[in-house]
Parts: sequence; C-alpha cells; structure tokens
Amino acid sequence: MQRVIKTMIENFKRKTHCFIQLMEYCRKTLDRPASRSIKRLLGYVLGFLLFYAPFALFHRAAACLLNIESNLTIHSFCLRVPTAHLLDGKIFQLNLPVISLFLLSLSAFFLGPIFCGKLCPAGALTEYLSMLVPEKYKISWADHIPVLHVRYGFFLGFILSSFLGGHLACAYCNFYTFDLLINYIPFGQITAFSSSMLLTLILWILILGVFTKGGRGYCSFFCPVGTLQNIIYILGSRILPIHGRLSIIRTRCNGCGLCLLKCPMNAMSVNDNGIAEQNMHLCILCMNCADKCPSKAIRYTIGKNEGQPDVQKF
Amino acid sequence: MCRNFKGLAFISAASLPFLANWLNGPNSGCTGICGSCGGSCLTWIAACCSLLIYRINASLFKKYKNKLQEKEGKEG
Repeated sequence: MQRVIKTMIENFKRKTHCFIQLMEYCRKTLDRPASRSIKRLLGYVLGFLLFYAPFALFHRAAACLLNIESNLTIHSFCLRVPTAHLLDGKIFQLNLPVISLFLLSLSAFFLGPIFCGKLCPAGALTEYLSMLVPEKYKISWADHIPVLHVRYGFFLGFILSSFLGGHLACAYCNFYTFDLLINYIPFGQITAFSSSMLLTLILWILILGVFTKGGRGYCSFFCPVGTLQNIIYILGSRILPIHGRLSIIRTRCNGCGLCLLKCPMNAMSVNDNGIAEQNMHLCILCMNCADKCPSKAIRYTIGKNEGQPDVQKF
Repeated sequence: MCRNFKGLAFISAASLPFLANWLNGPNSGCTGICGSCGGSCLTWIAACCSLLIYRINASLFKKYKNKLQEKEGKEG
C-alpha cells in the first residue's frame, strides 16, 4: 500500500514538475516580442467578441447574470447614455450602460486605460490598417494641432450636449460606425449608413486613421471613452497608494526615442535630460513602447506610487 | 498669442457637439442636404472649416512672428 502511495506521489511530483516547466516555457514564449504582438492582437479579437454583435458576450453575460434587459448592439455599451440620464435619475438604475461605465471607470482608476490599449477593436482597426500604408503618406496631426486641447474640448462639449437631448452623438461615434460596418454591410444594408455616418467613416478610417501617424487620430481627438479613462487614470495615480501604471526606469533609458516613433497615440516624449516621458493624458497602455524598447526601460507595474506622477501640463 | 490659438482649438472642439445638436435639431430647419441623416454631417463640415481657419491663423501668426524677428534683427 505504501509503495503504491509513494509511486502516486512521485508520479504527481513528476507531472507537477512537467506542468511547471510547461508554464515556464509558455511564459518565456509569450514574453518574446513577436508573441507579445500576437497577444495584443488576440486582446482586440477578444474585445470584438465581447462587445460586438452577433457575439456580444459581455452583453449576454450581463443579461444572464444580473437578469437585466439588453439588446446586442453597441448602444448598450455607451458612455453618452448614462450622462444623458443624469437628470432623469435613470443613471441610478441597474442597466447595462451604467454597469459598463462603472466597470470602465473602475478599471481605469486601478489599472489605467487598459480598455483602449488591450480591448477596443475600433481603435485597433485603424491602427492595424495604418501599418499597411507607407510612412511618407502619413500625417502627424500632433505637429499641427494641439491634441490635448481638441481632445478635452470635444469631451466637454460631448458631455454637456448630452443634456440637450437627442441621439446625435451616434452620428460621430466610431464604435457605432464599426458596428454598422460589421453587421449591416455584409448583409447588403448599405442604407443604414447615413450621409453623416459616411463622413464619420471617412474621417475615422482614412483621414484620422490610415493616413495618420500611428493610426489612432480619432482616438486622440474625438474618443470620449478614452478621454474619460485618461482623466480617471490620472486621478487614480494621484490618489491611490498602489496603482497600475507605465513606469520608466530612468537608469536604463538611453533616450534613443524609439518609443516616440512606435507610440500610436504620440504619448511619449524625451525630456531635456534625455529620458523618455509618458504623457498620461494620451497614453492608452498598449505597451508598444515597452515591446520596442531596446534597453527594456519601460514596463507596466502595479505597485506603490513613487511620489507624484509626471503629469504633463497643457 | 500661442495660448490663444490653443484656447481657440479648445473652444472650437467643445462647440462641435453643440453645433451638431443645433444644426440637426428639430427647430433648426435643417431638412438634411443628403436625406434624413439625423446626424452631424454639417458638423463635420464646420469642423473642417474651423480647422482650416485655425491653420490659416497659425500660419499667419508664424509669418508675422518671423517678420517681427527680422525687424528686430535689423534694428539690433
């Protein structure tokens, strides 16, 4: 009997050792730059499966778990709807837009804008499409327009105009345009695209997308979800003692500026001391900079805040 | 002066959603230039116009600044 138990324990140990080795191999493989790019792409695919019909797994799960009504359109995951319902008190009811906004804010508060950098398929679409266009045909809007002023200005107008009623925000929403692109065009329902939606499509995909350096012009200027997350991210980094954020190891950084070139949001810069700096108003934690950094000076950490973060003034 | 341009960009961007509501609202009299869009086509046109105005102003300011510097250089 003892021999049998011993053999069983040895077998278990051997299997556990194999499992640990396998896990270690997986970790090493996933830590390779090429695998990290694939991992990032898989994140966006997951985002697509979670939020967009016909899959809309997030909507289905929420409806099932909380026993609430939900349609499978992207409108259920809308920032504007809760702001519009601030006055009539519907924001205090348990519905999907409010839950979505709460989860989004919570994640941004503790972990940073990970939704934009890891899950949002609408932003990723233009970023990946822009990789197909040669750099010489792309415009760096940040060199010509004050990005942060337009970003926060549009956000303020977006929030305030919600109280005026109507659903005009949908006409310039890239989430909704993407929804139409997936669910209507393949079925021949081209009339679903109104003239304004077509203009949004051109602006989002072409002018501020494919032909913009980094491919995330729309995210930089007009995305209210991203702006809200960045505000909460900055707030979290100032208030919380432990916070998830991008940290730059100053002793390792050699100021080569490769992170500047690879950042799709133009959120990186090199300061006078020759050290890379993150602009928390724009960073979406896509970790492109960390992947491309030759000296491994950039990483995402969840830990104690070392003093006040370097939030750039604008 | 540069600060004013940034302020102009902020106000222009903030006014865009309001402009959309106003131009496409029920009392605006907009019948829709390309059918019942119910959206913000005119807003995007307005946005492009404001961007153009901003760019023209910025380039004019740059020229003015260069001229001023040249003048100061000659006097100096």
